[in-house]
Amino acid sequence: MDDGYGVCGMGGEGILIELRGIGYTYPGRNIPVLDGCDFTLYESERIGLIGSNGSGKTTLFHIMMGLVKPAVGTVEIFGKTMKKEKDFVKARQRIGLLFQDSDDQLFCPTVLEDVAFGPLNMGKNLGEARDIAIRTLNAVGLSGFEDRITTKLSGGEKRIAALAAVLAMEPRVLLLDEPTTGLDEVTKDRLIDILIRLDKPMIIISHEYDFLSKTTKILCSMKQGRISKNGGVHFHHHIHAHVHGDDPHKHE
Amino acid sequence: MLNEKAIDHSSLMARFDPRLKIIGMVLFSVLVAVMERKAAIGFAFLLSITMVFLSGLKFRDVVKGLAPVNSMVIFLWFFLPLSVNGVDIRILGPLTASREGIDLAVLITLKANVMMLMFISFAATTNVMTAGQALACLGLPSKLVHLFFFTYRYIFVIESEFITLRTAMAIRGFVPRTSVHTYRSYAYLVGMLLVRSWDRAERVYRAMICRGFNGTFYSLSGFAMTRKDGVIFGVMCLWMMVMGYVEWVVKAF
Ligand SMILES: Nc1ncnc2c1ncn2[C@@H]1O[C@H](COP(=O)(O)OP(=O)(O)OP(=O)(O)O)[C@@H](O)[C@H]1O
Ligand SMILES: [Mg+2]
Repeated sequence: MDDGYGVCGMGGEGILIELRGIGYTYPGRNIPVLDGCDFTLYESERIGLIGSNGSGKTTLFHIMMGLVKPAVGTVEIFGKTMKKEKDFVKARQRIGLLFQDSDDQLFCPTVLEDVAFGPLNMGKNLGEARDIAIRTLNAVGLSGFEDRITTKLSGGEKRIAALAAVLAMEPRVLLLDEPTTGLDEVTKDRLIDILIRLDKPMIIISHEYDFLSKTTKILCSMKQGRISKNGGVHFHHHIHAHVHGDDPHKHE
Repeated sequence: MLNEKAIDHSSLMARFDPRLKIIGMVLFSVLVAVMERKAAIGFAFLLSITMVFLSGLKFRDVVKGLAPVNSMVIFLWFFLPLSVNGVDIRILGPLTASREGIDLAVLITLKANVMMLMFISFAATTNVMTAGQALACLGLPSKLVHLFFFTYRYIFVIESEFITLRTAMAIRGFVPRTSVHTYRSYAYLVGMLLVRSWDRAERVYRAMICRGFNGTFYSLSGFAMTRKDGVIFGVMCLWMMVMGYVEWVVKAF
């Protein structure tokens, strides 16, 4: 996995994403959405994130991607502290974020163009981008949808097409924001199948325990602007966070 | 590009280099705009209808494309014959129309349709991404290219937000009347439309940068100028010279 990022070694486990003491309040609101929030995603970890509506899950993802800049706290991605927009530009190519609303994500006229958009931005040539897009569409079961108009897909089809658009960039980490909304049982099973086969670290936000138990190994919940890992892992997690705080270490 | 239909890539026009297509269309439109002789416009019509033919469009789609322009032109037919001074022709009882006015209306109708045909053949065979990229290749500043792309993109967003909001009002029994309630509701509608479109635009932009967008558009179709493109463009230019010849040298009709 040599992509120019040093991976921070931690008991043999690399840390992919680390948030420390994140605080954020939306402008015009007086209650913070995130308040002293710590979170760590280790290599090969699959985390399910639950929390009531409005608890700040989407906001958390947007902070990880640098779309929302936290008021306090640090974001570290692949061992690098993210300070400026420029740092995030590079990180975003390796983290795939599936938006909660697929309409936000699909914006090219046709499905094929939309899926190829990411690879093209990453410097692939036309032929490669096209091949990747077609391959990814096949993998998610959308073969034959290449020339369909994105605005005229059903809600579920949009969801899968948006997922294909994210997967086409071959990200190292996946952040999925409620991927199952609007999917029927059959499509949901297909999605579970796709995700299990992916073998990538990921964080999945969902309100469905059943779905999370099939796709992820660790369950976290969000409450009052903080995240806690459920069960025994919870304790373990905090020890790590503490060690980092007391013992600043170098990356690379 | 017109109605977000997928583009049929097999037609000759679809495979015509988009840069040359744009240059050809602009030259043609300027030429038709300054022409005043019907014979010359007839020649222009031949060129534009040929282009439509080479685009592999269905007759119905062409008619649909011409409809908006003609619904504007129809107003000219009410006003021009009555308002332009000239030789009067009696049409109905005391109602008279001027010959010059009618002539002008005919001319404008012809020109508008000829230009629109050319535009349809362009729009139906070029997708926005490609058009944007071609414009950038032709040296249009990237700010303008972005403006072009996003204007196109968000017109549909605003329209769909509008439809959603209007439906939301209708299902709760809103019927427009002349009342303060109606005016206030319409004010909310417009206000919400702006706010929602703004939010949506911002979210779409975020999604774009998440997928590595850095200000450059790439088109999947890509383009390389070939001999064939040169030939088509050459024929277009030759034909435009014929049009100019009829207009300014022969001075027929
Ligand atoms: N652009 C914004 N401006 C102001 N407040 C916002 C904005 N976006 C979200 N909020 C508020 O921040 C809080 C957290 O929102 P967020 O979208 O992160 O919640 P969530 O956990 O993803 O909820 P859900 O499960 O409903 O998706 C909510 O109370 C919401 O009202
Ligand atoms: Mg959310």
